[in-house]
Amino acid sequence: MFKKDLKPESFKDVETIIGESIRVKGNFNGNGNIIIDGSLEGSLKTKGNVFIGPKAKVTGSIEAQEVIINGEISGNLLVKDYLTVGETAKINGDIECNRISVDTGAIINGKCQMVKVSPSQKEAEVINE
Amino acid sequence: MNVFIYDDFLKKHTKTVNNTEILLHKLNLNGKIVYLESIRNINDLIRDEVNNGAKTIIAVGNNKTINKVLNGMMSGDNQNIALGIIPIGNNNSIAQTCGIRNEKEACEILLARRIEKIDIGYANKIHFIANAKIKAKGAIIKIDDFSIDQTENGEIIIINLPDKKCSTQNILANPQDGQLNLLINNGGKKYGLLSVQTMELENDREEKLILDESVAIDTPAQIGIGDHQISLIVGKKREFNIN
Repeated sequence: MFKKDLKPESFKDVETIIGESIRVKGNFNGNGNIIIDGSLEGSLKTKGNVFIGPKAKVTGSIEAQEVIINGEISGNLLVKDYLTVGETAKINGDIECNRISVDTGAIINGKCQMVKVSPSQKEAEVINE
Repeated sequence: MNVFIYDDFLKKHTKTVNNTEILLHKLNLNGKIVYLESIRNINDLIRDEVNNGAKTIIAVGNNKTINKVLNGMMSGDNQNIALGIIPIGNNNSIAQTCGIRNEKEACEILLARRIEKIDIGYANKIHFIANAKIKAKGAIIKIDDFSIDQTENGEIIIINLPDKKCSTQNILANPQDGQLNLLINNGGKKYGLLSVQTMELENDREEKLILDESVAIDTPAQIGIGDHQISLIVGKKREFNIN
């Protein structure tokens, strides 16, 4: 699980990094952990976790296991487990997650719905993996 | 049987070549020597040599020599024929990555015959073993249904065989996973990295794509991992990890 103060440099198993000067257009699907510090115009879907850096700009929906947001997002979020919203985060879209923490200063414009994942569902996911 | 394919530039390294041949003879690593300049078609040569019983094809020269021999080997079903390397001269980063620091070490490594099956990349119809590079600005990469471009100067590196630099940058490229690692680098922490099987590279600046730090090809290019692996003879101190 991501920790609140976790820095991208300490990610050991990052599958994809979108750096500051990189622009991605289209729908991005992955299996592992993803760091975004650049710009993404399109949806992002992964079975892993997502870290959105403070300079990142995402225009589109995000679906992941756990997400840390420090940048700007215009789109809906579907987070199966834990969503961390940092103080520099700006979210324009609806949120659906299991657990959430929001830092002072974060901006959220949208609905937020907590969706519980039952232990049996979690177990089933682990077995399926 | 061994087939040694000598690059043309080795004429400038006669002393090194002679010493290497003496060492090979001492180690009982004899075989047929063929000069690239005398070959009209390397694909035909390798096919004929394999039909005549060749088990190891050894590229004697630099990265460019390896790339030529590799492309000759990839033209047929030569997965069980081993590719050996004897580095001579400059531009020998592939040998270095494979843990082969010089020609003397190369002879010992050929004798030990430590073989790893390695994926091979392609760009259009040319194969590459280590990487493909191009300047990042002006390049657009299309993967599945998304595209990537870079707004600053830098370099796009498509990695198959990761070198020491990759491990220091925490780039977990594996030459056996059927994936290429796309690295967009403009120094420092500003980089992009993702694993891909196939991609399309476009460029509006007429920049060439450089394969294995030696062969330049035109863009646009279809880039990916080939269906067949190659048996590569590597040293104990190879710089890439295999999981």
